[in-house]
Amino acid sequence: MRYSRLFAAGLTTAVVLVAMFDWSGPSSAQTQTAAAAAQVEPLGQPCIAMTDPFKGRMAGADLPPGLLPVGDDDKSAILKSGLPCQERVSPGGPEAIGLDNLQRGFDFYSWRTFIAMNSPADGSPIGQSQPDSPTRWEDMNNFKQLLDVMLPADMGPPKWPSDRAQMEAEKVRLMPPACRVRYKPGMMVVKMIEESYNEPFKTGPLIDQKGRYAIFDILMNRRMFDYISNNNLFSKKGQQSRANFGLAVDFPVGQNPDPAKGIAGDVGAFMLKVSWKILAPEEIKARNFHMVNALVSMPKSDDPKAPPPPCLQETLGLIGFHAVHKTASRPQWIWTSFEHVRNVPDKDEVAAGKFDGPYSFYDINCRDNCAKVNATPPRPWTPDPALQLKFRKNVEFKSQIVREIPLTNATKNMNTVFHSMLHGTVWENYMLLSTQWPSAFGCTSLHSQSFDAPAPKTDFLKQPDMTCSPAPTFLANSTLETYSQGDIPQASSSCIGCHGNAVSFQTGSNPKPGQVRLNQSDFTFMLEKAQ
Amino acid sequence: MSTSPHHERSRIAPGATIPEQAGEVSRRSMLAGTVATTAVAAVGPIAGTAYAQGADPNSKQDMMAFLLLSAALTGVHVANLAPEFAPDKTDVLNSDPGVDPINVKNEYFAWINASDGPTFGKLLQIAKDHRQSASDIINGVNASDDTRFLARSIVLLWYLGSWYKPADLKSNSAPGAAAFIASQVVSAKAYTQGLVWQIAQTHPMGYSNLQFGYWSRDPDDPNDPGSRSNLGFITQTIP
Repeated sequence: MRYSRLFAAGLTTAVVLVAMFDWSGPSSAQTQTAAAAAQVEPLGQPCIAMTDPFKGRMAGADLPPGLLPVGDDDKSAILKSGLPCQERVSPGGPEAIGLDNLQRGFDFYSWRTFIAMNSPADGSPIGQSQPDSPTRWEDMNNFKQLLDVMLPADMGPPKWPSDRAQMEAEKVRLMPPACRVRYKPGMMVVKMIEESYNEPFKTGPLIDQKGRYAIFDILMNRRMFDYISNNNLFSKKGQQSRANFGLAVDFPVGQNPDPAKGIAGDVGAFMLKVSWKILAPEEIKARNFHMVNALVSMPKSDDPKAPPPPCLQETLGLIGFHAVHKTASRPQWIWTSFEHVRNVPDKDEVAAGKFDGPYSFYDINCRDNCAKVNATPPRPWTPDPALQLKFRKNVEFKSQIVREIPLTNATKNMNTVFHSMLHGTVWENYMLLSTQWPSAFGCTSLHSQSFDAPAPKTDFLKQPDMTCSPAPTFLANSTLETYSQGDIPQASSSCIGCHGNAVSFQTGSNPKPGQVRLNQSDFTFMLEKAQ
Repeated sequence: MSTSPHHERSRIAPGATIPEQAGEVSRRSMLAGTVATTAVAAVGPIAGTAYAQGADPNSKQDMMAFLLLSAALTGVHVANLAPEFAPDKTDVLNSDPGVDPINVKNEYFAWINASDGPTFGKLLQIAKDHRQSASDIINGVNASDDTRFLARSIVLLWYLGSWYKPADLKSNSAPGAAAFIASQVVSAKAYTQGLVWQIAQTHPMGYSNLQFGYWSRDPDDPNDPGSRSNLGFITQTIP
């Protein structure tokens, strides 16, 4: 899940200025949802620590006999367990080797995270969600788009009020004018910049079978926002201020409650990166994607005389979902990657001619006229406002993407178990690819112990290799790291390996011998988007 | 070209390189010389004999013996050679060597076993017989030329990720010998995992996981017990 040069996009659920204080706006259903969401506990509260109750080994080719169906009590406990504040894993367990037990623990954690994030925003169980039900991570009380934090200097510092009406007001303030006039409450607003369509390291856009761009977005939770806000890291000027001279960025960690040690549970810093495709009418009707009604603000032109970018109304379908969580025991963060099951086939399926399509980014009927597998599209890559979000007017181009590293048997089996619990919902169309985590425990123990009030410092100062042996070594999402899949050291996608290189605009040189002036940014490229 | 059994590269290490060409003097070669010298110094006079058995890559005891041997030869703690190592307090040979995400130890085991299985079996038996003492293992290794020079190759393999044939090491072992010794990078994985990089806190050309700005501050001393680096690399004890 190599990310990298950040993305962004602003997107929002906001209200037109007129409707800001008038909740009887165009969509009463959405208004009711928002009102209900206001009474739902914040994500991560309460913190519930949990290990998987599944019997038998998952790492084999088949599911352990008798595992399905999952018992009602276990199913209920898992689906209602909420967002994990911290992983609970152990090398001991039913699997034959410690690494498999640990990976299993992290994959279970990832599924819990996915379910908590994607449960309906109104607090109802995920089993009752519809494909177009707003999710908890889409609720503006839980996550905020990166581009609504890293603002131009003339827009002032970002705000994230606790009051829902004020949240809406802030969203509307930040909305492009062309979108504001089309906005209706409950809509998502995606403000496109280059990173919204160009993949990490500027490796190119992803084009679906309809010839339209995939769109990317990045969000953060309140704990992360508060740290950025409190330390004035939302602007270049703030990052380069004297107060931040020597600040080693250290986002708050998530941890399970431990009354014996006086530790209250805390969800810590979470960031999300999601990918969307523009749904065609037949796809909307089929209801196989989680979908949102969105306004997409096209990228601004480099030409100052160009007219403002148009704002398009589209129905977007969720195709990729990264959840990244910093915890007390994993200061390199835990990297969870999900995607839609009909995105692409993996290379083994292609070799065997065993398809389960149709796929969004692979044409199984393509013979001679298709793009080369995993090739980037021809340039130019910048969306043409006249074509809206279609890649080309006359030249038909469709990405032909194959997953280079197939899922492990253990992850496939874990997916089967969770799909059985989510049967009948749109969420059974999403699969965990894997979870990447730092495996060298001695290394990860270096983190500062300032859990209650995370200080802006880190113990990585003495650990030059802070990646701590990521497991698995490589991980890529077919929609988010399309062109950096594989297993070549330093070249192929590794979430921790890549994000270990993230920096900010802080001063990085040592003005005096012996003084440490790092400008690393704690495994996130978000701070690079400061203006 | 080398005559090593590893010419069937796909069988063991698809990323293996051809031996370095004689005449090239690279940083790697210089480091190799340094480490080889260290190894020679460490492998002192010998005593005792050992009964040799074949090495079994599927045997946890053989893998543990390989790790104990390697810890004694390299001075690096077993837990750093095998990050998922889980010790058994009653008998270290019954410990679990573990499986880690990189698992370079298995690659090395297979490579050495394919190079000279019988002598490798002798080395493992020495490690099993003297599993409580690094110095006894070293003494046992030095009991004969075949084990001594294979042990040197193993030291170089761990430190550099490259294979130096024991016969080449032996033919250049005379005092004052300074001939270039050809080597072969075992795999892409081995290239990145050489212990020399971790101990020196630097990286091989073209590969680095080190954090931005690491060059601006002093490295930790892995021998410093007061350091919070927790590297714990240099050890005199087993495991």
